Amino acid sequence: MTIDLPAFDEVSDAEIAMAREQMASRLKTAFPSTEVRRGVIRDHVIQNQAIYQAARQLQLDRYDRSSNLRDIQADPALSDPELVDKVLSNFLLTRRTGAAATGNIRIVISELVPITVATGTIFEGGGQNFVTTEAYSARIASSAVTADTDRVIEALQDGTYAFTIPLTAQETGIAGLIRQGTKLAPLSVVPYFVTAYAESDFVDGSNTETTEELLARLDTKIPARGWSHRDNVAALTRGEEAFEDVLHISVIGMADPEMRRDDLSIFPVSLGGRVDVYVRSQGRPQLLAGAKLCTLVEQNCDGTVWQFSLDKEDAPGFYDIRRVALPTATADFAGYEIIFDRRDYDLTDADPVPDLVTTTDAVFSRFQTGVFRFVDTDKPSGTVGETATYVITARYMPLIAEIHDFLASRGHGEPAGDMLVKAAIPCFVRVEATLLIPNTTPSPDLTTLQQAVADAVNSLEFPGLLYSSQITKVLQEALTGAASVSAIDLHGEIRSPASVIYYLRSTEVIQIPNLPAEMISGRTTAFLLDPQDVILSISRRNFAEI
Amino acid sequence: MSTVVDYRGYVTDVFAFEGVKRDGMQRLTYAMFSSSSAGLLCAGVQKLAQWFLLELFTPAGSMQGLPNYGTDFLKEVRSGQLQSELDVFTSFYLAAGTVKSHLQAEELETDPLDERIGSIELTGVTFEDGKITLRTTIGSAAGTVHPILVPIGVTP
Repeated sequence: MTIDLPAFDEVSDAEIAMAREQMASRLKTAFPSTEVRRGVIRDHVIQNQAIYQAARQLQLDRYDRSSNLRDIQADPALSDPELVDKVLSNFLLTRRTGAAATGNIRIVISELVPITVATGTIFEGGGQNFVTTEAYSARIASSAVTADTDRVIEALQDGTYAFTIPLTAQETGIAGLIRQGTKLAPLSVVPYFVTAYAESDFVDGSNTETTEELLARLDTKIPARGWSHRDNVAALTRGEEAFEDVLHISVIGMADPEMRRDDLSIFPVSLGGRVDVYVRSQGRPQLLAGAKLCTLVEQNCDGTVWQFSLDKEDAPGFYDIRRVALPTATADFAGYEIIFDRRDYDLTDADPVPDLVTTTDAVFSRFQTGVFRFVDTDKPSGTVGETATYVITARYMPLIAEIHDFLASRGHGEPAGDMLVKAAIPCFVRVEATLLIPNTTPSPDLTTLQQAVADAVNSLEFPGLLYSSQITKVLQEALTGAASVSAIDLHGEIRSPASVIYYLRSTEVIQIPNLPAEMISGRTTAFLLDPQDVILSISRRNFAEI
Repeated sequence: MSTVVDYRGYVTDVFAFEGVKRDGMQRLTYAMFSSSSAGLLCAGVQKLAQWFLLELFTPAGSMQGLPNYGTDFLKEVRSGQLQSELDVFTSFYLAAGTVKSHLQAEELETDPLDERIGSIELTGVTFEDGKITLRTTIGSAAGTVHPILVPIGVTP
């Protein structure tokens, strides 16, 4: 038995009394002339044995509660994790252990000199510590690079220099998933250090799964993995280890108004045979930065216009471009304005080839491509056709390509139809609220509140509605004392597959509009909220004493 | 003089004190057995007195699962809080009243009269260096009264 005997002080007086009465009754039956109500036998024999017996019973109760699915689901907190793991292993469920987040940071130095960052150098940022797992040498020229751990120092526009190294979070957990741009500082001296920041979002960090979270995945294991029903499709997807963490899946099929691909014939009916799988693989989209060769295409009064393209492998299913900057730009540079955004698709090497007639069908899928133009206001002139490298940061939902390839594969694909995986259509949310704090109450940690609100919104499936009361509840539960929350101002910005932006705003509820002709509905569109888009302000109040 | 026959049908408990003799006053020690004795059983007023003494001298709340069992009397004596006879009488009767109410609550109609509590009296207190001696009497519902001399060591 994996459940240890509880400590005696965990046993309640009521449980001991019950055990004592049982034992006294049995002893009395067996030995009628023995005094069991009080006295030496009661105090020294029955009482002590009752305490042990009650602890034993508690142990058995815990074992019983942990050994069947009904009791585990009724109260996961009371169940022994090790036994729960054994029970759920019958359903091929394995508790996920935590993993440390990893990512690259950009270190800015003041002088162009070779720098070595030793193994085990710790950087602190976002409330977490990150460490180098190898020694990295920053070289002043590419000709000096001799090893895989060497990095070339690049000159920045402001006269400083920078190089990039990877870091790993010291602690496992999602707290290590810092965002692109998060500032970090070394805990030991790095020569000529100016600043450091996350080059892209950190990835792969995860918490050890709680029993509640493990049970939530049970629905992915019980249904058969196949194409017969929506639950089966979700089970098929999450049954693959790489996709176990996929948050939400919405399947649009025959006769669903959002299905546009199966009514393109002359007959005004849905012919079926097409399935669109909308996926939200994680809470919020990921920012991915990469270098792209851009071509100068024209000049205007604002500067030079450059063009680049994203192919289907760069950031599959990407939503938009968040930042364009020179590699030498500083971290606080917001980026150049995108003035042209045209989506397309590429079916090269697709097997099977999905039926895509219009570009909007392919938007947010793994086949999506894009051509973009931006204005470099810092370069007023140039030669049309010249090229330059810029760092492009795309916002996208991870795993869209991998999930599509998996579900389309011969071993798992829908044999009777045409399947296409797409990232959930985004409704980017912004929340504004004022916290009313009494003068006698300390200010709350706004970062924690922002994260709590973002987590709550990002955990919603495809609800179609976001109520301000849901936000108020999260904030109020996190506040202490007489602090309260003012009216919530909700903003939503839906980017449709046709690149039309729909704006939502309300103090009560924002609702995904029902626009099936544009594939927009509560079943295809997800609310996405970045903690930085939770705008909280504090208003101090004097509350009269009673 | 009573014999075992007089206690036929009684329910017995293990006697918690070592050193008892047939007649007279004896010094007893709290022990269920010794090198010379495998232990004794008790019944009747002896058992009643034992019940009284065990609860009187058990610190209240010290037994897990029996939160109401015991009194604060021994703690007060040993801590030196009781500086006069009046202090001792007050503390004793407060504790004795608690014990008596507990004993009465547990009595059954089938219990022999000499195992039902009647009276508890403190007839005298003696202060000596490092010790307080109580002279008590335990009376049963049968009308029998038995003296008990209780020396208690006091923490200086």
